[in-house]
Amino acid sequence: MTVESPQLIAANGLVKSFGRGQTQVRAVNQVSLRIGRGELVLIMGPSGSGKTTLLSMLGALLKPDQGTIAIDGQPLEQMSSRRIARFRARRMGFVFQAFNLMSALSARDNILFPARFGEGVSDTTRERADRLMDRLGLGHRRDALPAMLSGGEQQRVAIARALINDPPVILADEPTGNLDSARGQEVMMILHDIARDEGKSVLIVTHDPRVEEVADRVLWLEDGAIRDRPPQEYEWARDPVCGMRVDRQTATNRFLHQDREYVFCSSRCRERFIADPKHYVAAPDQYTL
Amino acid sequence: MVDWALKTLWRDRRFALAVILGVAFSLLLATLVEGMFVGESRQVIAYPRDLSPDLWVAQEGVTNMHMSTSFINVADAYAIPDISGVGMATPLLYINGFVAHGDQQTFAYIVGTNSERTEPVQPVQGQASPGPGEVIIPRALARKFQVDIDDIIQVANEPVRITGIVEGYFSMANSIAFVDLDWLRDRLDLSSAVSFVLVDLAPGFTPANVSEDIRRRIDGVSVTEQARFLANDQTLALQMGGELIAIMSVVSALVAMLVVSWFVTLLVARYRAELAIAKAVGAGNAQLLFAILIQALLLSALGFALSVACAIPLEPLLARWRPDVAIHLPMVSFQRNAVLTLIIAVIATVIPVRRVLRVDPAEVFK
Repeated sequence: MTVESPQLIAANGLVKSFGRGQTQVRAVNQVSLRIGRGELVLIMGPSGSGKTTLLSMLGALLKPDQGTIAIDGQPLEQMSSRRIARFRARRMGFVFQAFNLMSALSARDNILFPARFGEGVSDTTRERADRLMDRLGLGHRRDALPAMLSGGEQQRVAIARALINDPPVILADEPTGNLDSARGQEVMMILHDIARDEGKSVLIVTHDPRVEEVADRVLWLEDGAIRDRPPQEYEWARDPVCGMRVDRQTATNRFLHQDREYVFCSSRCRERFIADPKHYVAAPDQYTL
Repeated sequence: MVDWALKTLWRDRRFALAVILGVAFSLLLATLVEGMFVGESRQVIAYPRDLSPDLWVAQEGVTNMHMSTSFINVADAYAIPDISGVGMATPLLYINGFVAHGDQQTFAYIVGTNSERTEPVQPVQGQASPGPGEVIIPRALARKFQVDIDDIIQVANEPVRITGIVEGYFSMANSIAFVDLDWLRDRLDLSSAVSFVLVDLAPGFTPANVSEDIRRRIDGVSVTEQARFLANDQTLALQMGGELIAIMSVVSALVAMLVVSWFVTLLVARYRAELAIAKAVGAGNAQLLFAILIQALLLSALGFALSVACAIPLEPLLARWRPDVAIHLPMVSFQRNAVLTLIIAVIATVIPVRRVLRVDPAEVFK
């Protein structure tokens, strides 16, 4: 008889350090967390706070120095590296900031890629890939190579790829980081629906405060530890390209132009700005909130 | 992962094509060098192969024709037909010398023949039997000297008239010129000697028994069976090129291996992020290594196939372009290159494999 664990992700006392001696940095320090089925949880915090390190450990990509992790009741520390690879394929889906698609494979082949390491590519998985593509609005882009897809389409392919083996856990690193506001919102809603409708645990590392409204919980990571979120954390500014509000303190996309620092919702907006700053700074005051 | 490996190669098809051409060129070069040596060695043994007696009787210690000197007393040669089991015994005079025309001269084996049994076997234009003061030379030599039937050339410093032109019997190292046996003896003052006696056995006798009888009856001779005689000649002919063939094979394999290894390493570096993704989504090292091996195997195999596809039509083309160069591409050379290709592919993956093993799946978050 299989007993379903109430917590899909359970981490206790996670510690991870990099470097040695005086240069040693404790990236994650005594982090414990529980994430249940159907929950969408954000991990937020300033740059260098250990968010990505924590996500890597929860995704079985990095071994913690101390502490334990159990995914769907199965402790990772007892698994061999070969079993961990298989476990990742079957039990976890990954979504990355840079989409990270296989450049030589079509959208459909990219989605099917993890299936060969899970239950294998079969008619069933091909049908599932087609259903996922239709559901994510990619039905007409099946044979397109990643270079032919827009950023939003690439991220939707990456989400479909994360879902192809029907894993209970989805881990996403800055999934909206390279998307404009509309596409970013769209991706967040897809991830929200995946958690709500399919009962999956979705854990998202993000800098983007705009996505908070779709989250069930927000964990604030600072100096490698989960802390209470500081009050009045936001210093809102407006992205001069798309007009979205952006938290100046945590924004990763910045550009100094004529002694003034502009912040952007995504690298795409930043690149557009750099290409033609005059076009966006005609009336600079309107971008200050 | 095989489809990823193949599609990635296809994506970089220009580079891949350059690598395939590089592998093909280096293998082709080695094949052609070997082909020339094998072709030359076949020409060297063409005459004794064509004569095909059961036994060769030569001066003691001489067991082949190429680059050897042999003299047997005529009296001993004439005693051979009387030995039991000898069906026919045919004397042959054979010396090393020069054939010249105008300013040109070439090293040649000058064969003195007085019997249909020792005349050239290959097709002859003109006469097949040289009379006194006449010579039969190979067609390639005639082309080289730009001479034809009835022209005069020098053999052993004597003017002789060309009465026949024979196909084959010519290599870059030497040529064969057929002259009258008695005429050659007179010119060289060798009235009491022949070089070899070709023995054809009478029905019902074995080479081993007759050899033994000849050795017992005649002192100071070696008796060699045809197969051994030819093998000795071929070994000697190939020995001269053996080292070069080995060096060329090693160099070509190294070049091919370096080219394949460089490209596959480049691919691994270029697609490092994708390899990290593959590991992150569940690919094991063995699956990734298999993909790398497939790439190296495919590049090497296509290079090998291209080298074969070029070598086969090149053989007759080269023969037409340079008739003086005998070229023969042996099947064993292709078989060896096929094995070499496998080895090239496997060794070429050593460096990229190490890099693949070092790819950290956590890089996906960087």
